[in-house]
Amino acid sequence: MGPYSTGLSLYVGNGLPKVITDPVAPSFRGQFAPLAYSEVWGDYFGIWHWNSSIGPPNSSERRETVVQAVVGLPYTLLALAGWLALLAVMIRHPAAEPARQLVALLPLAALLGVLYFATAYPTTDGDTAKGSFMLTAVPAWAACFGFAFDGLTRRFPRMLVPSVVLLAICAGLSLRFGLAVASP
Amino acid sequence: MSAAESEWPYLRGALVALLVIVAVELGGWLVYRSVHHGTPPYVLTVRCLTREKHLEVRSASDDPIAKSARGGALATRVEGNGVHVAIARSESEASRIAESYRLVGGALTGRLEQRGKIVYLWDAAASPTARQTMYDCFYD
Repeated sequence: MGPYSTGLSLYVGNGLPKVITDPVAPSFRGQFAPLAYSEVWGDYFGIWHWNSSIGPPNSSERRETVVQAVVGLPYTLLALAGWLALLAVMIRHPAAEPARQLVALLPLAALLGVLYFATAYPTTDGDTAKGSFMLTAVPAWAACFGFAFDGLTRRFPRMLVPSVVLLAICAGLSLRFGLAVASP
Repeated sequence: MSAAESEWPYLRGALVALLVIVAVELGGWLVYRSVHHGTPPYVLTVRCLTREKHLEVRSASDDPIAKSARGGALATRVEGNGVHVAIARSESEASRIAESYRLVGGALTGRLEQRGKIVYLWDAAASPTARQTMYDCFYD
């Protein structure tokens, strides 16, 4: 990821506030976590939604990437919580339900793989940390999200309807972004 | 005890851990923001061009129009094509700089470009890849 990323910022940089307010290149260049997040939910490098070869995104394109950064938050937080919980279950009960171990280990393998690729094969603009490199782990992330969502709504049934509405709105906005990218 | 009940402590622990991480990240950012007041676009641009693009950057001292930019000015060479970069503090100031160039040099088609608060003046019409190199180091 270039000379910027050889330091500690690669691992601990959080990209705030631009990971939300301006999640496109060259913001927070060389910081792995915000770059991976922006690539997963938006279009950091300007390949799909905006075209980096003709300059920075216009205000409309920039606004869409900001919306994506916001709608990705609840899904990401729940998926991370589910993943951490499944990892903990796996560690405490290693013999129980091997299928769940696969769900817990696949995101870890994907993250470590992308991190290794980004550090072992550095480029000047950090484009070895693309979200598409983590596509194989998407089903496992979805299962982690489902595990957390199911656990939370079972524990707090009153949260079910509001959270479904919130997540549906976020999904709708994200789908709009995806469809716009798919049919330019 | 059902599976959901036995798994709840793990999920609760994960949620608490995640909330702590988010709180620490936000707190750290707020502290950092109160101590540091942001790196100027000029410094970021020079750092990006030299460290990431491995270009030689010099001052634009021979260009009085670029030098008048309140955010700073620099000169470099991309693919053999020289470029002066004027970093304004507002888009209206950048427009004034671009207009000053046009008053002196005419339309400057393919050579003069304004992006937000940044004005680029190339020695010759810039190739797409040369322009992309400068866009990669665009901070305003």
